[in-house]
Amino acid sequence: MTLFFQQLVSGISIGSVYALLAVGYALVYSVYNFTNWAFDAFMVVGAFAGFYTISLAHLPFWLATLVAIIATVLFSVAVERIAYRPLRNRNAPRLFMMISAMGANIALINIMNKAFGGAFRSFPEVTTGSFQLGGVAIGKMDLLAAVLSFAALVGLYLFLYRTKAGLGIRASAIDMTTASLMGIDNDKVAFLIFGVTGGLSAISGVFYGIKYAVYPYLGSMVTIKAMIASIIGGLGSLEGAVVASLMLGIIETMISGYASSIYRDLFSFSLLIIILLFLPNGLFGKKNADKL
Amino acid sequence: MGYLNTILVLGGIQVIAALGLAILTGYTGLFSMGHSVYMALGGYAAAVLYMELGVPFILALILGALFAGLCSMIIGYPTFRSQLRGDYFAIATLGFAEAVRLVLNNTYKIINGAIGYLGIPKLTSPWLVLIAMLLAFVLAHSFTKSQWGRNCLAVKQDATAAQMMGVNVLKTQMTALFVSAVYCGLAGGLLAFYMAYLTPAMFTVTKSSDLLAAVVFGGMQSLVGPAIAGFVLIALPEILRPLESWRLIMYGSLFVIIMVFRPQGLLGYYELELGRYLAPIRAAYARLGIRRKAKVDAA
Amino acid sequence: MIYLPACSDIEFFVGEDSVRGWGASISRKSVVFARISGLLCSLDVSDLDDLTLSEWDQEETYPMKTRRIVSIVLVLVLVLPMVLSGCGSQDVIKIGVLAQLTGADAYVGQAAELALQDRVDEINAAGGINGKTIELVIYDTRSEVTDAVTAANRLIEQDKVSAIIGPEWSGAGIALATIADAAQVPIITTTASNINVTVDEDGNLHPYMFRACFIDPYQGYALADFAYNELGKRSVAFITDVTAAYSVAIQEYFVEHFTELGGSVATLEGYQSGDQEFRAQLSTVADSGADLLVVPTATYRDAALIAKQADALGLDIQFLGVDGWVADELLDMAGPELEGAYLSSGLSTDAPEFQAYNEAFEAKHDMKATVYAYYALDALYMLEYAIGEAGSGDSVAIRDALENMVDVPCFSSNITVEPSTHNPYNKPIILMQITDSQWQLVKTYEPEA
Repeated sequence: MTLFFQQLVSGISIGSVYALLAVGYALVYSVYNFTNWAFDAFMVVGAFAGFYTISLAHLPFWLATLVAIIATVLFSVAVERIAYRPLRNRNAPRLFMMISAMGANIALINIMNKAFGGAFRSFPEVTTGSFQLGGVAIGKMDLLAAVLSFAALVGLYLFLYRTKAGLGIRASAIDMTTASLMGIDNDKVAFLIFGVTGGLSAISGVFYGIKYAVYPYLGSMVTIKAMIASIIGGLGSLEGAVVASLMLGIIETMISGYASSIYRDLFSFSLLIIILLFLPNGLFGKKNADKL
Repeated sequence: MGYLNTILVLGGIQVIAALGLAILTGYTGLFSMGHSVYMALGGYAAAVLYMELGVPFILALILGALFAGLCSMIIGYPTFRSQLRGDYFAIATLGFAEAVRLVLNNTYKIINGAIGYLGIPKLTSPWLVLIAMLLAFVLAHSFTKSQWGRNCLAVKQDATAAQMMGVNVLKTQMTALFVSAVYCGLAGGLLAFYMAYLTPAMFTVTKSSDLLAAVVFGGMQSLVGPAIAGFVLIALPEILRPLESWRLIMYGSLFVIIMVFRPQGLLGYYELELGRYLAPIRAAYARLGIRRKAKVDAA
Repeated sequence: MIYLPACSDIEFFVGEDSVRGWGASISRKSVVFARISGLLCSLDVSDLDDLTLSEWDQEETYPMKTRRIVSIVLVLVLVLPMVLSGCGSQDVIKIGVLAQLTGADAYVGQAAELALQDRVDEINAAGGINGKTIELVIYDTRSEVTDAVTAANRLIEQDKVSAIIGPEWSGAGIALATIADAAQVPIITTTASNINVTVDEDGNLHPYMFRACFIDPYQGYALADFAYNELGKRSVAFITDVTAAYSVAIQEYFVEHFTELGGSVATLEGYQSGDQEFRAQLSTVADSGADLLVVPTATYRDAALIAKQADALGLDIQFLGVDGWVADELLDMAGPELEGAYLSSGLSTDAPEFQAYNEAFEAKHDMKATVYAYYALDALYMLEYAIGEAGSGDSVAIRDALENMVDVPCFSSNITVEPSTHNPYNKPIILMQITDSQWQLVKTYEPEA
């Protein structure tokens, strides 16, 4: 039973990081109908920014996270300006947006690889220990990550549903053209969305860097998992993304623990295919998600 | 000659695979991130057929390619059916590629898992690759000019409109995926019998992005473009080894720059059409005919 | 063939298209463009290639001139390097080097490259071998099997090297065996430890493949022996990179010998290279009751992550590592968590006989010497000897000399090549323990003791 709870705790902590990223995917998708493939790079930018703030400037952890968020938001908005906006303004096919995003991702990650090298770096002086709860070890960092993730998600919810800017984003998500006719500035919406999702990916990047290590290929697997989670949850659905992320995290650890650690990823991908077969719009997806 | 042969063979194999992806991504507008998996499937299937079941070499290559095509249907059907074609499909291809690699890595019966499938004879010759490449090109060209190819373009342009016009979108997308997987499978088979060794590590995401780069650089709606780009990208690192560490940075930046400034790829939308270059000759010939005729008339 | 949707606002254009395409084979077909509410949809059109996509592209955001300049630059970027080419000279013996110089595993090749170049400069300054200067031709393998193959072919055919040093990993080593045999150019791999690098699956020798390291079965065997007899462990758990030939082979041979001795296997957990999350596996290991955890990984990163996560889970178990762990970064990352762990290695940078070299190397290159540099140097010393014996750069003569090497002093130790397997004979295995975040030599295992 201890093993079960241990796996459950690990699963929730993995799932909470998936959730941060998956929500980012869902948010971008809900408005632009395309997946932002550059999250991987944003996450790594956040991790490196946080790492260097702590190790070089010796700032406290929360300040480093803030610096990471600011740096990543800048990158995110810049990528939106350079790689997406010209295409969006031209009403280019979604395929081109995906390739452009993909290109931005490959370029950014490899620039960081070139600049900082591929070596692993550990975050210094951040709480790493764990405490025992009835034989189940709970990492302090995991707890912090889970709490902050959910705080960020609640903040996002309040932003989207309690502010005027959030209303604008939601309006654009329903119909971008009509929204812009109603006086909503599309470029402003893009700025907000990429800013917010950049911030979310920075937070997850810092957590990931602390939990594992900081290196350029940090995000390549976790972003894929988060993307799978956002698809299982129903692309464009925020609550779906959160639920599916936690589900995926728990399922993965349970499978590694009880079935086969080797075939864990096979189960995740099969789950994706099965969900697509029986629930084409995901768990919470909009019925006619392919908007016209 | 060996080195030149290596470049020719590996370049030719890349061209075949790039043609396959061009049909899928360039002509049908489906973004695949894991197309190297079909090379792996085709390669392993052909090698197993030849080595374990004694199937003749050429037949093994063809059956291996068809096997890759059939496997592509596993992800093709569920993702295309859900209609959110772009993103679902891209992530599903990536997932499928990882899953297959995982299975290959852990199958120790016959194919020897991560250690690699040893003892495959080296049967791929430059001539075979050249013939396969030309055949692949001609077939791809007729595919794109056929009703199927037209349907692909229509689906790429606007799936809903195409559907309204009576195009079976699901069937069209499945056909395009099948054809492209067969192409990659053939490329994988040729690669297996050239390297004389197979290991799942040969078919990584890097390989897939090389293919994607060939299509994006070469032209989104062209066959000649991706073919040339595929070949150049194989030959280029050879010539450009000092700049090796910049390769992926260049790829990525070029993806963005091309999409923003020149989405039709380096060679444009147009095929490098033989016809276009033949036209003046043909016209000259026609004039000659007229002149001859005039001469005859004068006589 | 022409489908008519039941919509009223459809414009039809039916016409004859011009003859274009491959030859005149495609003759005049009717062209149908159907415009549905501004959406262009095209069906059975033989020449719409330049019409379809350009629909949206006609609304240029960038002027023609900019676009043209951009395309010219793009073409130049791709084509210019093709013009570059190299040239070679005559009275030198060329040695090819295949190393991982870029990417995440660049730490393996970089120090080796510098060390080899230093040594070659030294040889040439002393007048070369038999009066002939040595020239290194170094190519990056990018950790890709296909790249290793093209690079090897290039070394052999274009650069006409007499012998090749590298690559460092077994996957590429196995792929290169047939090339070396066919071209009759000897290849000395540095750390490719899989048995199939020098011997094919039926036990036949690849006559042109050699190596400077010990093989996986030997390391697996020695580690199992050490674990059972010296550490007194009876129940072992593994967390193995199932995508790496090296890791899988060590696990296989360890388990074989360990169960032979009477030990038992508690659990065999796996992961894929690139994984970051090991808590699920570690929890299972904790639950399995194993008293020893072996992590046969070729990169220090995995070992560091596993150790840190084990620590976070409060898992207190004896770690046993392999020679792939050896990198000072491991100690920086997870020194405290790995306190007390044992590992095996072929060489150790802390051995007293290397200290002078290490200091000189670090002073010159501002980089620490690594065991990978030592292995590469061993391979180069082997070649020096063989070239001296052969009296020329003749590949076949070099091969023969390599095969018959007996007790030749090399960089790290004296090397004897076993003619039947081409493995170095008597290559000792070093067991180290991590204490106070330092490698500490425990004992040296002599083979077949």
